Amino acid sequence: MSEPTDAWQAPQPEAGPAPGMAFASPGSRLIAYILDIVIQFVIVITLGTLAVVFGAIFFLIGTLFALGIIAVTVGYFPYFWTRSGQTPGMSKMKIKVVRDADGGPLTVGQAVLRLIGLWIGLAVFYIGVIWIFIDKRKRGWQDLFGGTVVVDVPPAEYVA
Amino acid sequence: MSATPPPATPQVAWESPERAVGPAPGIEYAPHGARLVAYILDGLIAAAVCLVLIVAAFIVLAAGSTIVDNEVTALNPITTTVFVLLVVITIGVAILYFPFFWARGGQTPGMRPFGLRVVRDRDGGSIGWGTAFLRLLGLWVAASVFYLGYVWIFIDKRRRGWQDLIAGTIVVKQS
Repeated sequence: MSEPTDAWQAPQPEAGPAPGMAFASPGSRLIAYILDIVIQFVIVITLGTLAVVFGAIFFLIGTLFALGIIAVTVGYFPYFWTRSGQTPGMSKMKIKVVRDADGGPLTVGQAVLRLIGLWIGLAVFYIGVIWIFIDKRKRGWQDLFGGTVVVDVPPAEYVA
Repeated sequence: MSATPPPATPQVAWESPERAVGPAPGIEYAPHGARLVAYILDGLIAAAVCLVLIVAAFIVLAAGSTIVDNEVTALNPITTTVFVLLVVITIGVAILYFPFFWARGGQTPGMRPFGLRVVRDRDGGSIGWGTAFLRLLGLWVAASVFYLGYVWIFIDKRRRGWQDLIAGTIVVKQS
């Protein structure tokens, strides 16, 4: 076993965007994203099943469910980003997305740009998300497009 | 006759590379080559264990089946259950091999001959199961983009691959 030692030189303390705040670690962001994808997947599968079942009975209702799938696919992330800055996955990992300029909440325009940025970042061999490892403020392309940054939620703000 | 090149003599003016400073006295960042060989050794060990288990599984399955004219006509329920169990254990070994050793002292069998160890980046302590699983996930992510996550070890000052950056770990060599 390896015990912590006082002589250990810890990695350079990374300055956060404000005193007492830290940029979210790549690990928490990865898990949050996986959780969100799983949730989205479950919702889409459910809606898809309903679309097929109800579509067989009455075509228009099936179409409504199909439109619901598109709404969830496109709207899931921007909805939560603008609402509280936390998708369900991010809230589990205690991280949130805020405006890079002043730490405020995202506008709808920023959220949409961020989603487009995420798609582009994933499309180009994931370089857009790899950017998180390189950028000093841990911004992926989605953050650079949206003008955002992802931070750890300060313990004081935990909702019990 | 080709001119033989002059023997390389040590140059007084030679600037040797900067010595890599470890995270603590007596501890250095694991050499790249040792990490690679350790990983290959671990891959071989895990594969060998899985191979033995899966061969045993099919021997058990075959032993319990009744064969008439090259057709399986009946399966013994007990041996079939043992077969399924062995397959599940094989999958378990394949997935748990790395996290198991990382979470229990940080040293896989492949790392032992080189004295390598996975520790927390923050303070050098041992990692737990959660971090170990996150590191395995990170290892898959690192391999998925043209192994760029492994190449990162050459770039990072503390020799962290993506698996290390994601899990907050480093690999050290205790001398």
